[in-house]
Amino acid sequence: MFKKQTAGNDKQAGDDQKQHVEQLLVPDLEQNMERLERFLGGGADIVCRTLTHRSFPNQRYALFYIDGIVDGTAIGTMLLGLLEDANSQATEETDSLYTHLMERSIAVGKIFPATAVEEVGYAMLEGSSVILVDGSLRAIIIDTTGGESRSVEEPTSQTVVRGPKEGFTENLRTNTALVRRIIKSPKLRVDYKIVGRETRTNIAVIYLQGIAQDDVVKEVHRRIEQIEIDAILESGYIEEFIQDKAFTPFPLIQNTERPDTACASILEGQVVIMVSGTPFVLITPVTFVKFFQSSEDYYQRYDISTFLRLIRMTSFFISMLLPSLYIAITTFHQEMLPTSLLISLAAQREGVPFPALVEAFLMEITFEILREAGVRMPRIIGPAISIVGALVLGQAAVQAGLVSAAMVIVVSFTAIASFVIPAVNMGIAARLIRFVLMILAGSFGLFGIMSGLMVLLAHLCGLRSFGKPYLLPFSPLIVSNLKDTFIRVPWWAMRKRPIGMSSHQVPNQNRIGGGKRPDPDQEGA
Amino acid sequence: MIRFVRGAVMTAALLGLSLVATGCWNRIELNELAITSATGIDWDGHNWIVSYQVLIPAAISAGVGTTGGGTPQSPVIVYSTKGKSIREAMMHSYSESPRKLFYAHNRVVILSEEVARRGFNELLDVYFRNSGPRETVSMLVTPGKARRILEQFMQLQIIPGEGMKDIITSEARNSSILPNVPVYQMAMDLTSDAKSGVLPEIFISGTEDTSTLDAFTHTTIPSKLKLGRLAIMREDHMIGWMNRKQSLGVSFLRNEVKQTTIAIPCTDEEGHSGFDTILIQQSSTKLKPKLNEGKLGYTAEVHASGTLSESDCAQNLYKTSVTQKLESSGGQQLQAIIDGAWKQGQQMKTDVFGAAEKAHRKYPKAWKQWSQDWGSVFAEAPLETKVHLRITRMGLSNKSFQYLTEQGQKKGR
Repeated sequence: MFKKQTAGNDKQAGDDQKQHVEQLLVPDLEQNMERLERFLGGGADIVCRTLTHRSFPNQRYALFYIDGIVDGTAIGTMLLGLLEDANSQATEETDSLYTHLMERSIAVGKIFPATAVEEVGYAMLEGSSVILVDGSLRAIIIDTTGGESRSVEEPTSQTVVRGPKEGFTENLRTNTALVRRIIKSPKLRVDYKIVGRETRTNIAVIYLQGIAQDDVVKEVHRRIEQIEIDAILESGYIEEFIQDKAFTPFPLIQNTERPDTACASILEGQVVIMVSGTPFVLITPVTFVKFFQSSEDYYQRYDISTFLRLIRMTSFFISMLLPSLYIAITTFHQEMLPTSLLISLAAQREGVPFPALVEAFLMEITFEILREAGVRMPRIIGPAISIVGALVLGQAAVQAGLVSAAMVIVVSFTAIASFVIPAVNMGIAARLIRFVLMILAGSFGLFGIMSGLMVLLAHLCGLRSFGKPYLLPFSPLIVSNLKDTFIRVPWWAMRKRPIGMSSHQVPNQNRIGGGKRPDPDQEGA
Repeated sequence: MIRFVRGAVMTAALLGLSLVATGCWNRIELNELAITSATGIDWDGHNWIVSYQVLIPAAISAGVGTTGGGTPQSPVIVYSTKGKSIREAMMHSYSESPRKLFYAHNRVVILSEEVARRGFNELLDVYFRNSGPRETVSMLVTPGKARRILEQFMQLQIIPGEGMKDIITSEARNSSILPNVPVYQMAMDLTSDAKSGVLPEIFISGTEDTSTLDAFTHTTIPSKLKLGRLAIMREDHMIGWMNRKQSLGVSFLRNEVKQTTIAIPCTDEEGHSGFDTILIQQSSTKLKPKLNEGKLGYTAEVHASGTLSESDCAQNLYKTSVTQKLESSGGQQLQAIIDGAWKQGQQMKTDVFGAAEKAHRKYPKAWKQWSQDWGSVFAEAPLETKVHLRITRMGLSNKSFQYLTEQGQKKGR
């Protein structure tokens, strides 16, 4: 079914290609200008400035750019240079106007020639300026990309106490620069791609040559190239197109707003995909445990990092299981509770009109609504929501006897636990699975929860991220990779890059020299 | 596409329906449970009368016997049902209780002496056959009606059933006179080689009942539940009682003493007589069978150690001779207690000490013959008791106050 669809798309795309017969530039400036304006469809933001040169009185040339997406300062400097040059005498008379401009008068670093109208037009749409020269078959494209964009700020979705406070922005060039600034290695490769028929979104694939696995890099390129879509507005589009399996609640590609996280992944042999227009970059291939690790784990001491990672893992299970365990135990396995707890729970349930399952569903859905309201509403209304949420829905519901107090505690604790997971998309997975497990618990008790978890485990074992097993290094077990999973060993003990994720070439796997453990008896220490 | 969607929707719907179709079989909400904290078993000659002490959760969690309005409400309610068998009697509870009886949190089962003397194999069968009731429930015997025990309120503990369990466990841990006998222990004892066991007695001390909350408006309550003697069981029915002193001896012989206190009479140089009290904190007994000219006998070797917790005689405890004397007279007292228990057991022809098991293990061939009439063989077996009592600590002061005051008098003269 899906195959048929893609085949159809290919055909359509082919048809589009046929209609676009390359329009080459002609020597006549007026004609070129008219064709370019027609290609761009005119518009008030298209700026055209015609100039003449003192040495070539018969030839005019025109500067084109789209206002707003170009760097104003660069345009200013360039124009100033051009005007100064126009009034001076060309030294060598043999020069044509085109070569003269190309080689002597444009005060911008990156320029290159173009011969087709489309090429020129698309370059302008990306923020370049263009000089069309009378009598020349070539145009000069000047990279003046710029315009307003957000500056580098602290990331909002992944905060740390200790660590760099820079976050990626919507600007692709800024983002690649942030990575380049951290990894100053000649082995760093940044491959550019354009995806999206209408948006022509720039995508950068970044990895370390020799440390990333070649077949993974190749596969990333292949999958991105296969995307056929009109628009890419966020990296989420790419993620859904290139992930290994469509139907799974678990994220198969990690995303981050933090350059340090992205760089750490690159250094471990993973591939980073940046998409213009979003601060969220994709990291792949990725394993299950990666979603429970925060960049801060590597900046704080290893003992507290290990503790926090265990806390996060526990929280994941709490947020997935707690309501269902409560339902299962209070409706099927009352004998598992200590007597005094049972009495207290039973007393709270006196007069509660709904079965525990319905009660749990009511509260969970209430909370999900509250959370969604908190995300979507205008910031100013925030306090109102917290008052309504905490007082009306929490306390009043209990006092009115609609739900038991214990259920409110369970739901709130579940909610808090779900916020502990550093990766939001993994938290979402736990949120969805929670509801399924609640139904299973309400129907079969602990037996239902166990069977649900077994299915879940089987599913997790079957997942792959760019061909890498999702549960690596637990299944298949790679003992040496366990040092950076739910525990983190000190830095001096992490001598090798993770096996299986990075290149198999032996010299590339060493991260740290041996014997780096701090020791007062060591020479020179 | 449409077929795929239809298939997916159908699968989801069928799976969803199958979850609902379970009818959530044995699902039961907390407010549909009648949580029993104690069960009483009586026998009226033809029928079992089973009594239940059912908790009222709202009354308990609202504080001691009061609900929001301040009207005192009893934390438990007691009712009985009658039937040809225990489970039949329990079944009749459905026709009078709005909630389903729930036994998993039952703490004690009280047998009336009548039931105990009649035999209670049926009860053990109920416990082992069904998954609901737990085998860790403590068994107690009461002279009189078991139901009356369930009706009593208890000091400090809101739930009387739990309170009874707490009393017996605390007693077994701190004074070791009566053992805590869970159902499984009873069953094991009755099916062991000796086919006999013991059960602690619970009785109402005082004449009136403490079955209304009004009793708690006074500092003294009219009656209390108390542990008393030791009931001796042989082949599933009770044959008699042992007093508390003999009961302590049984505990020593069964090696069940965790901690206990003994008072040893003493006389000092001045002729003043009083008691030295020793808190025994560690005790282990080895009961060993031996053959003496083809006749079975036993040696019991007790190693006990403890602290002197009270001294009433004018003794200089710095002297080793004094402490040695103390240790030996304490040992003699323990020996007397143990011998007394053994004698009483022999008189009842009931081996509650686990002696049969030991004989069986050591002399498996001879056992075949002894097992024919173990009661008589046991009744003739002599016991040789050796007690090694060691006083490890004298407490914080070494000289008794008696000693200090008498010394003062001597100096003053």
